[in-house]
Amino acid sequence: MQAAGRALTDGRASAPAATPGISPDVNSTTPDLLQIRDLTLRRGRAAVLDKVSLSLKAGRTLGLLGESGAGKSTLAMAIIGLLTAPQVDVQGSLKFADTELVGLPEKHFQKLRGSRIGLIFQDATASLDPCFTIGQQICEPLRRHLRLSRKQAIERAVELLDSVGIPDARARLAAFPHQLSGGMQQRVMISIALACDPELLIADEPTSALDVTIQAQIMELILRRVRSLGSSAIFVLHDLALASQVCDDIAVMYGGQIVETGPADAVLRRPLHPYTVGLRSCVVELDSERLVPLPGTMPGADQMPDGCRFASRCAWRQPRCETARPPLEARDGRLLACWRIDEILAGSAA
Amino acid sequence: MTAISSTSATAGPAQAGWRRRYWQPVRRQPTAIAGLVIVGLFAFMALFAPWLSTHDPVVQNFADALQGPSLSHFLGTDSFGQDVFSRVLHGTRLALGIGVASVALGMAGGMLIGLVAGLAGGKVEWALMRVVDALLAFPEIILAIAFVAVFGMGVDKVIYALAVSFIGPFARIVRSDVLQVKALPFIEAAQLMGVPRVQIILRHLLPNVAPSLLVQAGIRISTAILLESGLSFFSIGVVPPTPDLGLMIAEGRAFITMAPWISGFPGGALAILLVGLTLLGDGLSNAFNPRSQGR
Amino acid sequence: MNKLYQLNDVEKSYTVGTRPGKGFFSGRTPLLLKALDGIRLDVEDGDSLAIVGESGSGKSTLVRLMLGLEAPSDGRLFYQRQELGSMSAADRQLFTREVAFIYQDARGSMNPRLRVRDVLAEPMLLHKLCSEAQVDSKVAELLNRVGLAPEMADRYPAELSGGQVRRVAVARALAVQPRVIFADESVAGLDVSVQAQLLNLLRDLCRDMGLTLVFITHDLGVASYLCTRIAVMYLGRVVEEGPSAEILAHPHHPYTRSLLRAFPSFDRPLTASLSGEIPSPINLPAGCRFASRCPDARDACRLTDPTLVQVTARSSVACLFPLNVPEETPAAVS
Repeated sequence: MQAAGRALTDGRASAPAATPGISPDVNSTTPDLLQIRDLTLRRGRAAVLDKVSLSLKAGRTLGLLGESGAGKSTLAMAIIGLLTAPQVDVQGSLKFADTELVGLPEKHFQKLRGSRIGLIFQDATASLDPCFTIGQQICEPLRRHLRLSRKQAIERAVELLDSVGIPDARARLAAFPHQLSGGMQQRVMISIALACDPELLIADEPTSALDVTIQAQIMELILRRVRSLGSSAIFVLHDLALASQVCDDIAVMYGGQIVETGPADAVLRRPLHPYTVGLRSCVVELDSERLVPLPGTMPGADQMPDGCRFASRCAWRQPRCETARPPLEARDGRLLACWRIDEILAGSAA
Repeated sequence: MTAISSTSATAGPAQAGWRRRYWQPVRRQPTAIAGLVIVGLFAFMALFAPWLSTHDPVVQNFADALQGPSLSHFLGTDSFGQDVFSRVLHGTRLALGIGVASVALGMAGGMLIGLVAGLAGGKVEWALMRVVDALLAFPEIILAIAFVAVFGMGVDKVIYALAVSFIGPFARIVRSDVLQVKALPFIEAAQLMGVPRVQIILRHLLPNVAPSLLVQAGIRISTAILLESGLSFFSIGVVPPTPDLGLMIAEGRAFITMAPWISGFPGGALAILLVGLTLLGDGLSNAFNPRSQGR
Repeated sequence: MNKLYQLNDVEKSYTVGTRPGKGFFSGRTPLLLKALDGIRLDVEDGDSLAIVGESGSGKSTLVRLMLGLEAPSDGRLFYQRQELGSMSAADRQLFTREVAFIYQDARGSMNPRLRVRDVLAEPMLLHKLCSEAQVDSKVAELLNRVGLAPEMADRYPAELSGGQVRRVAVARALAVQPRVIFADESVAGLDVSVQAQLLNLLRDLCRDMGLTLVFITHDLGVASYLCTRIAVMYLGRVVEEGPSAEILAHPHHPYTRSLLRAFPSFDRPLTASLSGEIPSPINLPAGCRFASRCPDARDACRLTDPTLVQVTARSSVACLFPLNVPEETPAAVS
């Protein structure tokens, strides 16, 4: 990702083979909407995020995948500034459309959140205030950021509720969150998140708490709205199959680091990094014969080893892996962090 | 995130587990530490009062009356010539003794009522809770005074009087804890496994109700001591010449300008003891409150 | 084959409040929530059955009835030819030994004040399966069987990770040498790797020990990985039941088909196969309960409530116009 960022800002044209994973077919002069460089986030001794680098162009969707403790939610929260000092120490650069977010005062963040960056959390029931009606909660960002009058805000709220498929929208404005089902509440969350036509939507496990038939509806709704607005989206997911259908690009995280990124198709159909390969073979599909779990567990953030963080569980482990951390390198249209990637590539079928 | 972390919590043998569960939360609370130090000091004094005292606390010696603090009488003497230092030591012993005894009795009674109410439910629970409501309708001190008025004065009567006034609050706490724990999955799981009812109550229910109860008990000890001192101050508590802090404060009232140490030292000791107990109670309840565990 | 469980038209209703009665002088009529309606199900010795359904399907209620935690409002539920409610005390105690349950909230199902050793020893000592002296070795054996180190015996449940505590729950279920193990969503909310380990463990154990497994889940993939039979539930009714392979390849009920389609897959684009919300079980419509969301619903569907009937050699479906059935004639109506 660093190579991509540099190539773009330098204005140098690069040969297609050297332009790494993210958005290979989008015009390379399209600026990045989000550019993260060497973002390191410490909580006490633990480096919860360790030199994370990513970029995201306008109109693309990115999936953050990994097990719990990998730092995906932390990264999402860091982007919107919900994790700040004094509990955490953030270093590195996080640029949203030319605005540096690291060290941005809370006042400025409040202007971004809800208007240019929208958020959807996993548990809508916990995220909606039970003391206020749906109408009040949707109108709040509208009046605050777009400065609409009360009447205008109400009209727009009805429009929004309609667009997320809530029947009888006008009447629903007066309802309280607990009067709606889980799926309905999540739709309301989506409409609040998209109320001001944000350029970036961040969704942290938006459908995990929902029934599977509702999940498909909601996911499809989110995608449709995001595409129609031309916005970008970052999805934090643990469901690999869902990610493969919903995201343009994927970044796989392990132990606070990015281990593999690339187009979703490539990464999930033909995973290259040993961790991604291991994840893929654990996924339960309708025709799974035998699941092959990864041995061991991810160490806690304060017990991370030197060198490659995945080494202790990796079948390809070598002494070098335990002392030095592999950098993200471009290979085969993606970015990978593995010392033995060339051997892996040579071994796998083309 | 829905996924539960697959990393293991800190490892350790059984001993470390004990320390982690009980000592570390306490260590993190400065109020608990402060309270622990103060109460520890007083407990030590109370425990070893007979050996630490320089004089017999009830021996009167009018020749030495109303003397200020000196080397022979560390805290002076009172109007009867009794040594204030020894009396304060024994007074602390009595205060803590009465405090612990009355709270223990009250807790036992309240626990019984609360347990039966919480487990039985229905009309039994309703009836018992109305009895508790009646008890709670009286301020604790009024109940204690009424008891003493009927049954007379003395250390044992004071203990019973205070215990009666504590039954109400404990019964309430135990009942609500029982209701809460009763609904937890592991109780049902034990039923499913065929564990007999009695064993469920003793092994699964009570041990999980006890912790918050004990913290409450700790907090009430300071109330008990204050009440007891109050009763004695008004001469309806313990019988003189029993060394009692409240009694000593009352006795020193007449001499407050001439010999302030007679009321001053017992008063100061009482105040510090109560503050220490309150700090300890607060600190403990913060330490073991799941919400304040810093998650 | 020995039938362990037999459910004949089991129903379960709850009163959830009142509604004003019709007419001025009639009192309030109780609102009934019919959690289970006309369940017909058999579980044979050695079966592995997955009960699949979304929220409101009644799957958890069904399991509670089969565990004897609650009694059916109507219909009859037999375990080994005896009704649970009318068992003698001795038989009931035997029942608690033969039937084990692994809770969804594994950590919550263990007394937080007991160490793992005591948690595992309790059922063994209770049912006199070993003596006090043998407890330690038995506990070590159990921990080994579920892939945990023997040092775990000294820990408290709160000190274990999500995957570890579920393994302990499995170990506790095995401790009594049961005949049937019920498990409620035991792998939901776990990382994929931990989930895979646990699934393999359950599958291997059941196969090696010849246990009967009843597994509740909302995930058809997990259901087919673990179990040879699947029963799909919707709003309190079993709408389809049969061999996993058949249900996955040729679902007979439109709901099952929608459920299959809704599952994200690497090869298929995500389709919202069902529109609308799951109706409330309090306001069940007349006719087929799935009609309001069924893409193939016809007029007859809104009038008649289909019951579970056999459509192929080994599967049954509750639908007037089942899918993938050899003959074109609709199934018999109730």
